[in-house]
Amino acid sequence: MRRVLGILGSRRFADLLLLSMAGWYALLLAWSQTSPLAIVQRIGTMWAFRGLYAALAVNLFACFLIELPRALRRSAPRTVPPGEFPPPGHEEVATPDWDGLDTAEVSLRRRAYRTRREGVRLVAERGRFAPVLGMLFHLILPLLLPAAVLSLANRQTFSMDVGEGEVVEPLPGGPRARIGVERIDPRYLGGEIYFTQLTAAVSVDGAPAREIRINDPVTVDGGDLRIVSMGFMPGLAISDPDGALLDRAFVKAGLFPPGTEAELTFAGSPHRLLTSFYPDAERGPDGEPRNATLNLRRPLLKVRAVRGKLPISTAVLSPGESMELEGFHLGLEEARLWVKLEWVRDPSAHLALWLCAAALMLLGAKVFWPRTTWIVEESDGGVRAARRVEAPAALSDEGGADVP
Amino acid sequence: MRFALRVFGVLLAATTFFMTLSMIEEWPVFRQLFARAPPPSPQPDRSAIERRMREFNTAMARDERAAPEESMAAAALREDQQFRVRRGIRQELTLEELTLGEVRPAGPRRIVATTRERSRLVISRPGGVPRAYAVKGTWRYTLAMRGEALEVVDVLPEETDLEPLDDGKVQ
Repeated sequence: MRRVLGILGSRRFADLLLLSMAGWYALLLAWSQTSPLAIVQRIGTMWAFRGLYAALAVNLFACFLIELPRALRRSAPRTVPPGEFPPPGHEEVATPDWDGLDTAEVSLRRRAYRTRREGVRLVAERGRFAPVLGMLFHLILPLLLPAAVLSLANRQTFSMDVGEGEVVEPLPGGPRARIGVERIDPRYLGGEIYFTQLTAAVSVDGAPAREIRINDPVTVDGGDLRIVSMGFMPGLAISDPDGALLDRAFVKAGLFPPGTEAELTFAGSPHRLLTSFYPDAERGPDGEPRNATLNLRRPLLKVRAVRGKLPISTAVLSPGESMELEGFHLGLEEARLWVKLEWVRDPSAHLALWLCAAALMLLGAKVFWPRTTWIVEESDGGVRAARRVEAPAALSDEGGADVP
Repeated sequence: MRFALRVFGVLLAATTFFMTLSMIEEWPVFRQLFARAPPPSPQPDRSAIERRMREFNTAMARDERAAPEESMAAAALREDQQFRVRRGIRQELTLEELTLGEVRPAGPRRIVATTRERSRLVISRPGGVPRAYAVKGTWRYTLAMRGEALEVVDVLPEETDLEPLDDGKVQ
């Protein structure tokens, strides 16, 4: 059993796993140059990869079991035999500010050292448990795996597209709350297509609206509600030859790639409407509309109406304008922005986040708070001091530490 | 050198091991690499495509169903015809010229073809006089292969122009 534990927790096994992962990540990188992201993600979540992560978790846990007793032994208070100064492993440090053991003790305590007197010497230590912190850091890594599995199993995700000024009632599978979007405010870098900021004022169950950003969600029904993307939606109305309203709806308009046409149909008519939307339209040299920016300033909707294989009519509509369509009237009433909101409820994500934060703190403490020992003794009306800083111990091939 | 060889060996062994597992998991995908490639699906020749398009247009001109299958284009054609009957619109569309342009595959057993066409359209609406037009431009057809037969699934005008003929008076 000990032998099996030794193999599972060995550095060689860790090397094998890490090298395998490195090789596979290199292959994924090569794949990502030629294949869509979804395919690369699919490859990256195949059972071979999951097995690799599981094996790494086992390796870390076994290593923890092997190393913990040694780390605890290394954390025991160290006694320095009297005599030789500086003691072995220590280097002498000039401390002109210390005129006696008392001032040295006050100074060291101020710097978070625990002090004790051993005969004529003052011994001060801090970071005694640094080796154990390193072990705890490694323990958290295998704990992250079950947290990730729990997250995958319990994660609830729901997306909804909500227009500016619209309120969405609770939907099956979504948050049990009424979500309203009062205002959407996209800002673009230099007026181009890249977002510098996308905010939306979102109200939940009629409460005063709160502004949310892409990375600044609002908590709704135990989950996070965040903005994912946005777009434009022209509001169209169609009436029959008698003037009766047949249908009125907002339709999502796609802008990319330029020239994209959305196809719309309406009941009671064989017409197909091929529409292109321009949120901030200007006329090009050929007289055709084109987008100056992506801000919703001067919206235009170009409509090509087709019946069968016949082109029936083409029109470019501003808000408030309409076109005749073999008796029907199609009007562009207004244009609005919409946002895609994503609601994610994942209690395990918080667990994983806290584990990651704890792991970082432990690693930071281990690296930046190493075990340091001061030996101070009185000498000719003053003091002489020696210090020992212990670097984090490396593991041996057998899973043991190199430092005795 | 020895270390480098060792690392290379580990990488090779690990890649082989995990690649094998991946191939087992995704066997339907990898099988295509090992199995003999199936014969390529026969692509209809251009003359067959053009002939099918002419048949479709002739059928459309006669207000008939374009194809015996329940294709989208045939359903749209029927809806169009019912609409015209309801609205009292009379329409004759006669294909005069058709030149097949680009033909490209659009998925398994499906092709998209563009045409340059010229047709004569005579249309009259209730209370109006018949008007004649030349309809010119490019169209995009989507065709599906059902066995050996070609079916027009969809047709859409791309760049088109409607030009009145003879001052719009029908001869």
